[in-house]
Amino acid sequence: MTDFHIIESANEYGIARDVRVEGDNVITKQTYDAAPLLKFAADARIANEGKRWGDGHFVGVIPMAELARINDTYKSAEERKHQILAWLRDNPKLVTFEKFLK
Amino acid sequence: MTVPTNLYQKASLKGNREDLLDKIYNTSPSEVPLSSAFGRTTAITDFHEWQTDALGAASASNKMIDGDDVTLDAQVATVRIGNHLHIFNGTVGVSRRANIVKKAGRGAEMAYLKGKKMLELKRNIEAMIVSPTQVAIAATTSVAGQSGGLGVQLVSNPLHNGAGATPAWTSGAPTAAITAGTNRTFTKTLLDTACQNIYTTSGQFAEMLVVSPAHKTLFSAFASVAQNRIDVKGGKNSQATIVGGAEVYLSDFGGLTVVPHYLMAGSDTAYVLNTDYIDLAFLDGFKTTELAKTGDSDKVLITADCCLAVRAPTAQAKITNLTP
Repeated sequence: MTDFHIIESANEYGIARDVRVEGDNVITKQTYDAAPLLKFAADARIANEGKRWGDGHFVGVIPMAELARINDTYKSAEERKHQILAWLRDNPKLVTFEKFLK
Repeated sequence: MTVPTNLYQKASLKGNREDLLDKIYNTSPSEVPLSSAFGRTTAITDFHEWQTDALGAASASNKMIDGDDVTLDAQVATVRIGNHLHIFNGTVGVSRRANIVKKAGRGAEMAYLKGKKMLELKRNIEAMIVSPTQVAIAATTSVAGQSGGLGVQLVSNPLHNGAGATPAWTSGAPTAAITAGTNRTFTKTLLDTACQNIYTTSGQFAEMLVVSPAHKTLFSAFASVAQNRIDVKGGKNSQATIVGGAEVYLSDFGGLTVVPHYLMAGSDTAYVLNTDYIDLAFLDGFKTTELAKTGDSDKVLITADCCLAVRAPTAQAKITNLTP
């Protein structure tokens, strides 16, 4: 039985939170609209097609919800960088430079 | 020792509401992208101090004659710096009648309200962090203590324009106000200079660029960045929508995550950070205290007594006096 349920409106990063408290368990569902990010990354992949690695290459876009979770979980900058890049490899539709995946 | 028969112990309790509060509170790191990335440490008094030190300049001509006697090198003392703790606070009150009428899920709702208030305090802390001008203020019997933000603590590699300046810390704390300068456009040259300054002064590579949404748009238009990107057009898929994502850049010098910060809208400053060297120091964490009854209601005070501690200002930079 649900003791308490509230749906928060999206925050400044477009992340909405659904909090459901059942007894002593909290079930939190975070949602965000990834469609603009997916479209943005897809267009960038096409624009970057055939280009070579250069200094400061834009390789991907990571939703703030995922970045914040990684930053909150891993407390070393090096580990965070590793996790961010791993996340992008696991989510190739948000990669903006195909060569990054190879 | 024997536990008395039928003693109602903590382990017997069903449903610890403070744990529930923690669970609710801990599920929103995205509200505070910087606080989430910084380390946590414990402060033991209302003025939190730490020390910085640096090696002397490297010298290729350092040598001695075989068998020569020595004169002792002059030693440079460590620099002791600190910040004043700041009591962020909020209250939640529920009337007796509301407590009686709404029985279902009441404990959960109260935990949620407290969690929400704690989240608001977290955002207040985040606002202190990104403030380009907030100075530290020592607490007195009539003045609330205040933590200085990033703006006054990034003293090693500030990039100002015109008469703008970030004063050195006074009496070990960042209490002196920033000197106003003349605004100019955010450019890639400024960002490159900031990253180089960090490397020169600390040997570190920049990890995170934190900017206002407007400066994020400018960053995306930087020449060497733009050639690797598509043009961001207006409308539904405009940059304002892309604020929900952080861009990841890779170069020979490592990765840089570009974080648009909603609390920096209208800011004249961009921060280039290495979060390994920045902590939030808490005196006693987030604390909830039931207040004494003064009327027909229950009241709770929530506090977070903390300050920002930039452990190594040389590993950070700020680009300020930017046109918002």
